[in-house]
Formats: sequence, structure tokens, C-alpha cells
Amino acid sequence: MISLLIISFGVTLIYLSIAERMRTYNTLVAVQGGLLFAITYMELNNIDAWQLILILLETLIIKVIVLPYFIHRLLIKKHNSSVAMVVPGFVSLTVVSIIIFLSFLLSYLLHDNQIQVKYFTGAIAAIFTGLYLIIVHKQVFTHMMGYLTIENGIFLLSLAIGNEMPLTVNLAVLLDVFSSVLILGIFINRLESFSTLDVDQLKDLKDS
Amino acid sequence: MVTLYFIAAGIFIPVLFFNRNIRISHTLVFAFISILGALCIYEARHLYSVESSFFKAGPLGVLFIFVTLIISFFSHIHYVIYANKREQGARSVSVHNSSFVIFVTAISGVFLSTHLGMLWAFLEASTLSGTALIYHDRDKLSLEATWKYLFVSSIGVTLGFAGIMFLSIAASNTPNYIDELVAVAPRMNVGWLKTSFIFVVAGFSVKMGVVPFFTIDIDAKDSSPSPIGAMFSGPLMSVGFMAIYRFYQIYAHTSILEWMNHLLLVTGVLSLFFAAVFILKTNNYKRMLAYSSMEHAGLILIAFSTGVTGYLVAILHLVLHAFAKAGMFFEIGQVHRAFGSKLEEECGGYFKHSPVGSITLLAGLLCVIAMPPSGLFMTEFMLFKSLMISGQWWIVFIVMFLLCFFVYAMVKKFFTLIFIKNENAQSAEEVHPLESLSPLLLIGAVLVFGVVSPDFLIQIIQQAIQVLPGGQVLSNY
Repeated sequence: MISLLIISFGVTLIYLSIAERMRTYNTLVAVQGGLLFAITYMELNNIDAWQLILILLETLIIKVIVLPYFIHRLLIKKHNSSVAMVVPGFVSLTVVSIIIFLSFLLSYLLHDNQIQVKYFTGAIAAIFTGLYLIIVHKQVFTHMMGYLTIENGIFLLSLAIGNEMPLTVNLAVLLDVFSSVLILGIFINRLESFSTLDVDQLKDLKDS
Repeated sequence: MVTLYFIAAGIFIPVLFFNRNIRISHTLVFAFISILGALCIYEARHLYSVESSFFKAGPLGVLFIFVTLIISFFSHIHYVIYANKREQGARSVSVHNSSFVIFVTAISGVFLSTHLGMLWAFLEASTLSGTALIYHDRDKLSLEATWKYLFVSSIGVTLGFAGIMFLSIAASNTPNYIDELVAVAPRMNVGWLKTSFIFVVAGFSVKMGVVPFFTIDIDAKDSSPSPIGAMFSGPLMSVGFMAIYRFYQIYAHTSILEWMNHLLLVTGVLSLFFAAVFILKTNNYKRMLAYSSMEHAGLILIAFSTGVTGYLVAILHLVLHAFAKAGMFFEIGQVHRAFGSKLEEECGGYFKHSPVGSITLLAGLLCVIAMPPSGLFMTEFMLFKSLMISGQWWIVFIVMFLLCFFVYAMVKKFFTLIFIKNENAQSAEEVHPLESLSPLLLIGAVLVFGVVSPDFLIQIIQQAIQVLPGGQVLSNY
């Protein structure tokens, strides 16, 4: 069952690479949150019950409900729903597929008893896909989605070693909370003052 | 005492945030800085005493807290002037002062943490509070700098977190306490350690202001008020160094020591190179100081990469640079007020405006370009000596060549600012000579340390580096 959930997580990464509407990005990141909730529920059964409840609530409430809701509200206000793609969708699809394949290959080649291969594959693929999304898009919104994907990857990475070290999972939860502050505090409240969400508007700071 | 300090911070922060009396607010910040002073004295007298499982004061932590204490004290004096002159509202002052206390608390938390997860959490807290400080002026430029800083810094700190994860894989079931990790380090998988160190250096470069994530650091120092620029150039750079140093301290007991030194050397030289390119291009005095900080951060990494002899030089350079650069940022803040601009084409003839300020700038210039009798001249001299001892002559030539660009750019532009009359320069505000006293004190201290050997500093640093391989042999260096 966990394998199925992680494969679904991988599918969301592929879908992210070709999505053209901001609403799709938001939905996909929320789906990733839901998948992480299910994976955490099934995987972390050896840890303290309160810690487990905290982690589950965090994944469900912050990742699946609060953040997507606020981002959805912002998108309605902006009336700008399409994503400016710098590279064609099929190129992104190919690149993300290669990233997933290489992550899979890397995880199997490592042969380390400390890590669980399936989580590690998903984590590395998500981190690099997030970085790729940030590089190839030029809107603040897609940069944010790329960051959230990286952060989901980090959460999965903490699960890869988390059964033995619940503290690392707690820290990953903390990262989630910090990133939520980032998004809610700055992205949603302050960047609304820009007429569009294009990073081209953020280029006044330069050397001459 | 550490627990009491954090409890005090926990009380001060909400009080500062909700209080709308500006005078009380500033008094409370100075009271908090006094508590930091008490913590510094207490920890200096109780070195290595474990107060909770997550915190222990080592010599390096105490030294950096001392640097933070001095600079934050002067920084807040200058912020009081800044806020008064700009007639900042009570809400703006409250947000700044509460963020400032969070920032200082987070910084001291990094210096005292013995657990890597705790260290990381304080680093993230310093990012969030630093963001609020950058956004102080609430204009479009500060919003841009804030967004970039928060976003890139968060990515950097996330990469650093991935570094901790890779270390956790290498360390098997060992908890992330530094002392415990040092003990098991020789048994760790080298591949994971190398991956972890790359992520750590890349991620925490955001805090130290070196490649790859240096750009946001420059923007942050430029867009924030000058007193905050001083905090970013001094204490925050020490935070970045401390984060990298903690991992280095663990991995130095493995076979990747030499590999790490090479990585730090490459990072340092690349930082020097990019800073040299950009400092020639910029016409903004605050950005020049920011690129100069990047240059010094690069030199610190190069010194550290030379191994045993370089450890002492790197840390001493870091401390002296923090004081000199803070002084320069405070003084450039006065220049900004005097001309209403920080751009080269809109400033000039500063000597007529403020002879004391100009002397301060000249003394600061001597320090940051490392000319005698500056203490930074001594550390750079020792850096070259370390490089020569380790047989890296070609690095000596590259570094000397790149340093020429800094000397040229800084001397040319600061001499223009001080001595050359500029028709476009508009006198915006009179600056009282007493306001240049604190920068002069900080810069003067660095000059004095060039003549009188700072033995007490050297002793603390020698104590600190004893945990590194070969650090014990430096007691007679």
C-alpha cells in the first residue's frame, strides 16, 4: 500500500511538470500533502502517540487544508490563472521523468541499510523536481510551488530514516510550519501589492 | 543561565510587540542586551558546563556572543537615531524591536546549540526574524529584498536540513548531538558525509554570504537600515561560519578532512572572484560594503581550508572584520542621511559635511582593505603565511591578484565620497559628530589590535580550536 502511495506521489511530480494552470499546481501540492498524511499514518506506528497525532494533524491541516485554501483565495483575487512556461511542457516532462529514473537508480545503487529505498527515491525526486520548477518558471507563484515540492521531499526524506529517529520527523514538521509562515506572511499578504505575480517585477535591486 | 535567557527573551518579545510606547520599547531592547551581556559573562566563567541537553557554552560560542553583544548594542543606538530622524511610527518600532530581540536570541541559540537539529531550528528562526528587519522601510525595494531573502534563504536552510538528514543516515542511530557524532565519526560512511557537507556548505552559504547563495545577502544588506546591515555583516556572518564549523568539527575526524578543505578553498576563491567582479560594477556604497564582506568571508574560508595554522587566523579575521564592517555600516548610514542617497553620483565632499565621520570612514577603509596598522592586515598576513606553509603558492598569487580589485574599487570610490566635491550631491541633513563616535570606537579597536596583539582573543580562539585535529599544537603559534 505504501509503495502505491509513493508511486502516486511520483505521478504528482510528473503532472506538476506539465501543468499549465495555477489551480492545478495548488491542487497537486495539496494532493501531495494528502499522500504524505497517508504515508505517515501507515509508517510511523512505533513512535509516541502524541507525536504521531501532531505530525498527522500538521500534514493534514497545514498541507492539505490551510495553505491550499489561502492560495486558492489569492488566485481568485488575481484573475491570472495560467502559468508562464519558459520551456515547453514535453521537455519538462522528459526532464522530470529522467529525474525520477535517476533517483530510483541512485537509491538502488546506494545499498544502505539505514535508508528505505522507496522513500529515498520519492524524496530525492521531489527535491530535484522542485529545484527544476524554480529554475524553469518565472512566476513567484510557481517558485513557491517549487519550494513546497522541495519541502515535501525533505519531509519524505525524514521518513526514510524517521522510524529510528522521530526527532528528525519533528524537525521536518517544524520546517513545514516555518514554510507556512513564509507563504502566509509574505507571499499572500504582501506580494498582493504587485499587479501580477511575475518575478520580472522583482528586479529593481541591482548594482548599477 | 541559558534557560533563564530564553525565558527572558520569551517575555520580552510579546511585550515589545504589543507595547506602543517608543521610549519604553527602546529601553526594553537595551535591557535585553544587558541580559545578553550577563549571559556572556556567566558563560565565559562557566565554560563547557552543560545546562540542558541541547546547550553548552564553548569558547567559540562565547566569543561570538561577545561580538553579537557589542554590535547589537551599537546597532540599537543607531537604530534609535534612525527611527527618530525618520519619525517612525510606534507600530513600526514595535515590529522592529521585537524582531531584533528574536534575531539576537536566534543568533545566540546557534552559538550555544550542541544539537544539530536545534542549531538548524535557530538558523531558520534567524531567517524569519531577519526578514522582518529587512522589510522595515516597507517600500518596493525592501519588499523585493525581503521576498528574495526569505525565499532563497528558506531554500538554503532546507538544503542545510537535507545535509543533516544525510549525516543522520551516515551516523546510523546516533542522536544528532555534536559530541556523540564526533565520537562515532570515524565509523561513518564517507560518501554520505561528503554529500552532507556539500549540502551544508551550499545551504548555509546564505548566512555566511559566500557562493552559491550570496546575491540575496547583498540585497538584504543594501535594502535594510544600516544598523541591520551591520548585524548581517558581523553576527550573522558568524552564524553562517558557526553552522559550517559545527559540521567541519565532526567530519574533521574522518578521512574527508582534506577533501573538505579543498571544497572550502574553492568556495572561498570563487566568493572572492565574484565579489571582485561585482564591486567594480556597483555605484552603491552599501552594496560595496556588502561585497567587501563577501570578500572577507571568502578569505575566512580560504584561511580555514589551510588546516591547522589557518583555523586561528580565520576566526580572528572573522571577529575583527565584524567590528570593522559594523563601524563602516554605521558610518555609511550617516552618509546616507547627509546626502539623502547612497549612490556614488549623488554623494561627494563628505569631509566638509562631517570631518569626524570622514576620519571614521578613512580609518574603516584602512581596516577593510587590510592596510597597516589594521588588525585585518595582520590576519591577512598570517593567512598568506598559512597558505605558503601549506605549499599553496598559486592560491597566494590568485588571492593577491583579486585583492587588488578590492583595494582599487574601495579606495577610488571612498576617496571620491570623502574628498571630491560633487555638484549633484544635495545636502539633506546635518549629522552630529557624536554619532560617529561608536563606529570610530569599533574601527579604532581593530586598528589597535593591529599594533597591540589581542592576546585574550587569541587565547580564546586557541581554546576553541583544540577540538579540531591538530588544534592542540597551536598553543605556541
